[in-house]
This record gives sequence, structure tokens and C-alpha cells, in this order.
Amino acid sequence: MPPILEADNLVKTYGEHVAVGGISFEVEEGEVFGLLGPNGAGKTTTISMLTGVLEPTSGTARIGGHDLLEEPAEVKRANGLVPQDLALYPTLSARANLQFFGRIYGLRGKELKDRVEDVLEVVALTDRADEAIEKYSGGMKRRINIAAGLVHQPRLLFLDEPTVGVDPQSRNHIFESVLRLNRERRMSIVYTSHYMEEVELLCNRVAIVDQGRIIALDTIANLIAMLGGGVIELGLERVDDDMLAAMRALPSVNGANVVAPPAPATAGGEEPAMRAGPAAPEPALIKIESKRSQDALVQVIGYLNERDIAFTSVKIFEPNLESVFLHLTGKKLRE
Amino acid sequence: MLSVAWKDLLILFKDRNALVGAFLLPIVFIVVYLGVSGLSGGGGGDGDETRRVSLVVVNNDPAGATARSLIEGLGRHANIAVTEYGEADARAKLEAREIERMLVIPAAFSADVAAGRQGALRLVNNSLDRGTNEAILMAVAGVTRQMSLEQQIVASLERLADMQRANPSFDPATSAELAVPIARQQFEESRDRPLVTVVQAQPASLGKDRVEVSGVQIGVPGFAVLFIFLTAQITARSIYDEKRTGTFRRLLASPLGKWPMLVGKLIPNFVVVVLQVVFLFAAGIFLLPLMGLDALRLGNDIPALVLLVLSVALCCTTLGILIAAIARTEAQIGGVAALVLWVLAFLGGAFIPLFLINESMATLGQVTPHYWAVTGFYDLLTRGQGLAAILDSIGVLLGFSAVFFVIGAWRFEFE
Repeated sequence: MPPILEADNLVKTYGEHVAVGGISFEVEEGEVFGLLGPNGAGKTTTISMLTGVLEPTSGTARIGGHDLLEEPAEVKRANGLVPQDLALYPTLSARANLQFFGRIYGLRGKELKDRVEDVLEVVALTDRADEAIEKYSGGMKRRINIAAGLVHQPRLLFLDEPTVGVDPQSRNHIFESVLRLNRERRMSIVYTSHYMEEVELLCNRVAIVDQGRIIALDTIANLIAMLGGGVIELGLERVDDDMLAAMRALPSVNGANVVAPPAPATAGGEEPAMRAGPAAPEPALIKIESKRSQDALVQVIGYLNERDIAFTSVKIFEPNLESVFLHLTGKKLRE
Repeated sequence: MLSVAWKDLLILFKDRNALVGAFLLPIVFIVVYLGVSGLSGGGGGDGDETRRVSLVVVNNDPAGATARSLIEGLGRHANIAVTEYGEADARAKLEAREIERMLVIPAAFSADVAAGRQGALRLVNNSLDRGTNEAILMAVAGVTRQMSLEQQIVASLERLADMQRANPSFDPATSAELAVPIARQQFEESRDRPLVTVVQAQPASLGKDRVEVSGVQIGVPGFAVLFIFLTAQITARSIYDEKRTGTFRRLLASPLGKWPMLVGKLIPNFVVVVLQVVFLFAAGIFLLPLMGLDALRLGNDIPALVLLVLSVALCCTTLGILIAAIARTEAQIGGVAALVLWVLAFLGGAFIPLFLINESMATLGQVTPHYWAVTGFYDLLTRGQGLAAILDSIGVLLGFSAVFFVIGAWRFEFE
């Protein structure tokens, strides 16, 4: 079966700024495909090009067998878009919103009515369908936001950060809806997020995006296997090339690189362990990759004690997409 | 396209503030304007029955008995205070707006009336107070009608006397039988062809155009044009809201197409403008009389009025797309609306007709669509003209529409 989506070297530039610098990937029919990357990585721009909202500067894509540039109307009929924003008309009821979004895809009469009732059921809001959207809670608005992208029964649904600002209960409901759509209706889904937990939970394959480019694309299992045991992040009061070379030579260490100076503690205290410890004159953060994290940590600390070098923080990243991203970019997903 | 238009109309009609701004606010403005400016058009008065209106009479027939009789008749009228001036003095005072109206009695007035020829009085007004002007006209017409009747009945009796003198065998018993039909005939003649007529005129200072100036006829179309063009914000705000909330992305991601979507966004503005005109004109016709004001008259050419309204609606709608294209934030939309629309409305004569202010302002006003809209409405509603008279207005409004749409579409950012 041919892929539902084939993106071919999509580029989007704004003057000198390259928002997307040549992205290519395929999504198989019935697959949940993740685009994982930090804010500003180019995920939304990529989706905007694939859904016809933005015109690519170069490159193209085929969706459902239709070329994005040559058959835009057919591509748009095959697509469903759930934008990151609550893209709804707040003074209209949920039903009126869904009817409108059905009409602009050409649905009329009984077909439109049936489709609206169906998607209301999918997002479990049938009993509140005639209330104005502005009276809904944030989670309910998110659910109707998804329903609006489903009403015309797209073959390929783009979900752009659908859980931003959503309470845990509604988030779980969204996850269930996505999985049901995929499993029960065989809907292909492209899911963007900067939450690796969501992508790990929902997606079969993931493209990791950074600075407008795909830096890795594989199944989650294969991406994690790249790292082997995991990553140790160590804050040191000083570091030089000889030290790094010595650490690389340790038996359980596969690699050691400087990441960045430790950032000052943030107001939000997102990663307090990383920020602990007194400020050093020339601080550095190093990343140590290992197939056996615990052994590597013992060996590295022994080496530092021998050289009388203090460390300011230690963090072991279990093998997951976060540590894969750190491994690939030297940055954390939510920096 | 129609789905987008229908959805926008639903949203608009759920927005109470927008409805008040579009429909009720103009009515309030019109009523306040007419009340404050005293341009109400009278409608029968303010209950001040003791008020006497000054009327300057220029008697160019000082020796004539009929002229003197007319002046005395006017002087006896309860609501008119007559003052006599020479014509040069009176005309100068009128131009200087020291007096508001004068009645000119022509030189051979008495002789003409005595000879059975029609005598024409000239009532010159420079007041915008149409109600008072009409009251004066009615008073003068009332006095002259009495004079006509009196004069013609006297003439009929003189004819009867002539017949008796010409026929010595005339039986006096039959004179009454003859007198009644003759008197009745003269009475009919005096009604159909009065001996004295009153012609209204305006001084040059009231402008080149001879306009029947009435507060309602000026205020309703003027404020209608002002508020019609204010609704150009509807399109701009609607597009801004769609972009802000992200629904614009959804529309762009649909198979609708950019241009049908944009036209769909324009249709509600067009519909609202047409509804506004219908509502405001209906209020002018039915509501204002209930408030003691004149009723709005729609003129003599309704199809031309419909054509003008559609042209104005198109112009206003395309102005909306231009504003949406150049104003990127809500504050900018508000700023453009406040600055451009109110200033253009003032320059274009929506507040004060340009024929009442100086010529340079009137010339400047011609660069605004408001001017052509207001002028078109005045031509139809106030001057009672037809389609031929407003073709220039319609042409210019369509020209503005084309320019607004082309620039707006060219500058519009879909992304």
C-alpha cells in the first residue's frame, strides 16, 4: 500500500530566515506518526505546508495520492487539521461550529447532520452540543477543536500540539480519542508535540525535528536503542579537552562532550537537580553516553575524585526520546 | 463562500455591541442632531404659540392698494411680525444672515391683480429651519388666497353690474340667479388659477444648488452614510479575529479556496449595509414623525435609490478589505476606523452638507466616497431628482470600490 503522505524536501523561508530547511518523510496508511521537537523547531510550519495553509518555498508532497501543489483541493479534502490554537467561533454553539466546518468541506443535509453527531460522540460532547463554545471549559474546547478537524472524515489527520494548556483528565481523553480514531477507523495521524511522553504513548514512528530539519526518524524503539544505556549529564566546575579524552577512555563510557554551561536556576524550577550547587568560575555541563549508565557514573566520579575536580550536578537520563534528543542536539526538548 | 457568509452573519447577529453600533446608534445620533441643531423640519411645532416669526417685506409697489392690503393682512397674522425694508437693504441683511427671510412684492403687483393678471410674490429664505419656512409660506399663501378670492368675487359682481347697465330691460329679479353661478365660477377660478402666487427662492449664499433644506432630509442620509462606512470595520475585525483565533488557518486548510473565502467574508458587510439603510430610512419614515419630526421622503425614483444603496454598500465593503489588508492589529483597525472613517465622513459632508460650508472644503470632500454617497442621496431624497442625476455618484462609488478591492486584495496577507 502506498504511503498516505510523502513529503519531499519541503522548504519554507521568510527572507533570510529558514523556518523549514528541507524536510522529507513518509507516513504509512493507518500509522500514527510523531513530529517531535522543541518550540520553534519548524513542526507547525511543516504541518502548515502539508495542509495547504502555507505555500512551500520549494519542495512538495503527495497526500492520498495527490500532489500538494498541483491538486490542492483534493489534498485538502484528504486532510484534517487540528491547529494548536482553539480555532473555533466562541459565540456559536459546538453544533453550529461543526456544521460550518462540515459545510466548507462540501457536506450537506443528512450527511452533514450524521457526521456532526458522530464526531460529537467521538469527543463525548453530544449532551453539551447546543451550548456556546465560550461557555465550555478549556478541555471541552480542546475536544471540540479536535472534532472540527474530523467532521469531514479525513484520511489523514494533523494534530498540532493538541494538549497545550489542557488539564490531565482532558489530555487523557484526547489520547483515547486519537488511539480510537487510529485503531477503530484506521485514520492516519500526524501528531506534533514537544512532550516526548505523548509521542512515546501514541506514535509508531517519530521524526525528531530541530531548527527546521529532521535529525532522526525511526520507530521509538530504534531511536532509543541508539543510546544504549542512557545519558549522564554532569555539571563540572571546570573542564578541558584532556579531561574529556580521559573520560572517553573509561571502560563504560562511549562518549563525553561538553553541552553547555549550566544555566542559572529558573523561576519555574523545571530541572532543580541540574541547577543545584554553587556557581563555578568556568562551569561546564558535559554529557556522557554509556551502555551501562551506573558503571559509567562510578568510573567518572572516581576519575574526578582522583583529579580533585568537584561536580556541581549529576543527572542520569533513562533511555527515552528526551535523552535521544539530548544526544542528538545537545539540548533538552523544553529548553 | 455562502457558508462563510452565513456563519459570519450568525456571529454578527449574536454580537449585541455590533448591532447597537450599526442600527441603534445612528438613530440616536440623528435624533440628537436634529434636536440640537434645530433642523427638525418643524413637524408642527413646539407648542410656543405666542412666538412671532419675523418677516421682512420689500414693497416695490408702494402706491398699490393691493400691496398695502397684503402687508396689512400679513401684519394681522398672529404668528408673523412684519417689518418693511428697501430691497437693497433687505437683500444685504439676508446675505449677511441678519434676517432669515424676505417677501418681495413686485412693482406692478396691484395693477396686475386689478387687471386680473397673476401677480407673483417672491419669498426668499436663507434659513435651514424648514418647518418655520413652511409656516411662513402657508401664512403668506393664506393671506394671498383670501385676497384672490376677494378680488375675483368683486370682479364677478362688477361683471354683473356691467351686464345690467348694458341691458336696460334687465329684470333685477333675475340678478340673484345670475350672480350665484358667476360667483361660483370666479371662486373656482381663484382656486385653480389664483391671482397671487408665491414663489420660493434661496439666496446665493445657500449654495449653487437649489436644495429644499430639511433637517430630516439632511440628517438621515448624512448619518446613514457615516454609519454605513463605519461598518467597513466589520470585515476587517472579522478577518482579524479569524487570524487571531486560528480559524483562518482552518479556512485556508479547507478546499474552499482563498478568493471564495475572502468574498464570503465580504458578503455579510454588504448585507449589513443594505439592512442598515433599510432600517435607518424606515426609522426616518415611521419613527421620526412619532417624535414630532418630519417624515423622511424617499424622493421620486426608488429604483435609482436602490442602485445607489447597492453602490454604497459595495464601496463600503471593499473599503473593509482594504482596512483588513493595511491594519494588522486590533488597535490599528480601531485607529484606521476612527481616523479615516470619521475624518472622511466629515470631509465628505456626512455631518454637515458641503453646500452649506466653504468651497475649498467642498472641493476637498470630493476625494472621499462619502461625498459621492451623500450627494447621491441628497440628489434623490432632497432635490427629488432621478437616476440621470446620480450616475456620476454611482460611477465614482464603483470606481472607489474597484480601487479599494484591487489594493486590498494585492496587500492582503493570507499567510
